[in-house]
Amino acid sequence: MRLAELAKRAAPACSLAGLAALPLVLTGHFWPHILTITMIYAMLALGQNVITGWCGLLTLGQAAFLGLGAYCSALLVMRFAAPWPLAFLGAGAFAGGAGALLAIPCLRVKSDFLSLVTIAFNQLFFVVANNWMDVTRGPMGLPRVPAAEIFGIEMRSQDSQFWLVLALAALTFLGVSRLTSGPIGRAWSMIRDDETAARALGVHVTGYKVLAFSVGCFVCGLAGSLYAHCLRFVSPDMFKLEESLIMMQMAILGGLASIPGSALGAFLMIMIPEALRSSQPWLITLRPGIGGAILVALMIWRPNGLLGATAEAAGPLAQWRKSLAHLLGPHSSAAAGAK
Amino acid sequence: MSLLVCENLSKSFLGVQALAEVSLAVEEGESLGIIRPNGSGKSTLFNIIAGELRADSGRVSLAGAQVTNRPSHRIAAMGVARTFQNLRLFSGLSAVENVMGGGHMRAPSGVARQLLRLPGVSRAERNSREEALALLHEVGLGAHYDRFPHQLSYGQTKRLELARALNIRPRVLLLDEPTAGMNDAQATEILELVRRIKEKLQLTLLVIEHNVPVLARFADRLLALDAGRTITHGSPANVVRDRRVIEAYLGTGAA
Repeated sequence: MRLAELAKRAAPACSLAGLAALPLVLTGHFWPHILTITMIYAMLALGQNVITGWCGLLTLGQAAFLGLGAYCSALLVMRFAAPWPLAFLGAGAFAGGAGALLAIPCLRVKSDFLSLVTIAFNQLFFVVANNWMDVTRGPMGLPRVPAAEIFGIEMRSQDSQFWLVLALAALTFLGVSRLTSGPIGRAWSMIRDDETAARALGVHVTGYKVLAFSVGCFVCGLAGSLYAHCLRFVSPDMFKLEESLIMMQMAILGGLASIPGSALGAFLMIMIPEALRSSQPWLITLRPGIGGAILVALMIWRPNGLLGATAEAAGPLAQWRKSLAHLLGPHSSAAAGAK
Repeated sequence: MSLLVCENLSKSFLGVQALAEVSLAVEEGESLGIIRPNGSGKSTLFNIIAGELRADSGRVSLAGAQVTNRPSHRIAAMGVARTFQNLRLFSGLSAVENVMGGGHMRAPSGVARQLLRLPGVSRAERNSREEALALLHEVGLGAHYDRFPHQLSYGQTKRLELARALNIRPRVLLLDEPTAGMNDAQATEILELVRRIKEKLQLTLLVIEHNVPVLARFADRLLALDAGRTITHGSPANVVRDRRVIEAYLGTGAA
């Protein structure tokens, strides 16, 4: 029993150390790059999970906040010669602030409608990014985004990018786990499980929902900055609805309201298809469809995801889950069909 | 001065009058039982007092302060706790976490403080857990602290909800059918528990109940409603013998 407790405590540090050592084993360009991208997506899954897994809000527009973070960071560095760390935090703050602003009117609508409004916001972002030539250069995108630079060291090599993203993702995971393991995370879960009861116990429901949105979008914006400066390119079609669906799928698949689940979701949805991209190209093409099919299966057998609370621990989550299944089923298959 | 006063509360839903000019006053430390034969809209009164519903007209005041139509979380902050007719437990949280949820208003909730794990934060969380465990113990669920609501029996979930409501450290506790679905022995047992806690914490109680005989033994005073109107109130012995109450339960001619 004691040993199990110890193992549980040591697990994050051990996996972090293991990950950090990976580039020493997996040399070359291929693996460090894929691992970097996977970690960025793990952050995205985490951001989505704060909003959806903990607070129970079905938002399907997170790609817009990824985009806001990416553009904000790239433009701050390219146009205003801001130091990258500042642009990184600025991207988070910008996306987080935008998330809070979007949340305030959006929270007037309930569950399914919230998803629709956030999908609309995602589309709106795409249209603006695609047409605001002066700022975003539209469909041409922003080429030659400088590599991230910290203390005068430019993170150009794949390995250095890997370690940078690893460190920042680890910090983000630590921060979110601190928020979710205390009274704030409990208040979010209370809202998810029963808003009326939460209110009756003194929880300021709207305030906590706005907080969940801003924290989730803040994390998403940070990931956006890393995305822009690692891929060295930003363009509007990187932030389409399909990306939002992948974020939702990662969060659900890995485990709702689970910190390690967010990382697992990214591993399964990003790392595996990307690693097999050259040998099994159909995996990438069919990813939304496969993801949708997996989700439908999960809804039946493990409604809270692989590492989420076990199915029976969530009896009355059912209604919320139903709307989730109802929403994601058709959308995922539609996305697969469009491919 | 009465602790909780409702004056002429009215509420209708799509033309159905759930409450019509209902007035009541509860003294500090008193327990008032509310009986209502025909069911409909009984919880409406509690929903209005607790701020979950807006009254069409009328006023609610707590310890002299106007609280009519204030948001629910503000009213909770003023010391009004409630349990629900159809349990509203947090299904994704364990028993002890459910009760800790009741301590939400005392928990340090600053984002920066939580992120930096400032010294007080972990201590507050530990204290909050211990308080919750003590309350679970109090209602007889000490051994089940790590169970989830679906793993508890019906009676246990009722007790869990009571413990959670007590954790906001209320002055007024609204119990909506605390003994629903129980036989007389179980009902008496849970009301005994409520009475013990009430004495210990000096609570003021409002209890809605169907089980009139059990409630009559428990409450200091009874208020009988029928079709949204007060038909009578007073000592339990008088109310249960009132002709209008008997008629409301059994039909005209029964008395």
